[in-house]
Amino acid sequence: MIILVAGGDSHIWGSELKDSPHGGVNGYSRNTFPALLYDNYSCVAYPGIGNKEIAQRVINACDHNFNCDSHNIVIVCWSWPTRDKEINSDTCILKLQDYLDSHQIPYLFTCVDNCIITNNPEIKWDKWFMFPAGKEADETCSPRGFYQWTIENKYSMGVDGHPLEDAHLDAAELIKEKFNELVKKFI
Amino acid sequence: MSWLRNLYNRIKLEIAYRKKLKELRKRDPFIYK
Repeated sequence: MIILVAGGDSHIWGSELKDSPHGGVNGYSRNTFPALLYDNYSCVAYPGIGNKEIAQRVINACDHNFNCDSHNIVIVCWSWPTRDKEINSDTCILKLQDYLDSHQIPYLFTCVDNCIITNNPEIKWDKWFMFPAGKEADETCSPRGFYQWTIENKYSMGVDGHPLEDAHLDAAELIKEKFNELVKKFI
Repeated sequence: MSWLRNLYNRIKLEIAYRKKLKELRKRDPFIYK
């Protein structure tokens, strides 16, 4: 059996989406963009967590699935590095990248904000999906993270500021091709 | 006097790092609030 493991923060948990009833066990949404990409879906994201915890949760889930004779494919939407009081998250990105490569687990990385992007040559940037750059003067002119892309495209937001269903639906449509290219061809 | 210059440079770097961290924190609307 193949399981899509999704890591991230509240955006991947699906905070404020209608089908995410609570923050407890299995309270995550099935209408986030990673959930819309693959049916057999497991979410290890959680609201408010930083990138160190995101990486560790994904590793724990992959180890657990492997012990249950399941195969993993992974999608991670990295959060803001400052949640770990760092100005970049290269260390935990590389930790997870090395784990996934060494276990031959297909994966795709993206992020909520492009401030996580560095010029570190050890990070395999070709395994990343970035949302298209803005074209207007007041938009981000370089490839964007999910949150930047939703804000600048004026998608509907919940009262706490999370992108809602329409943004996730369009994001899944955009990311689908890269996901299939990097991940589904291994299935 | 080189120890004094080293100390000055380390403090300067630490201040710049903290300033950058503070600026970046403002990009996270879910924590900064």
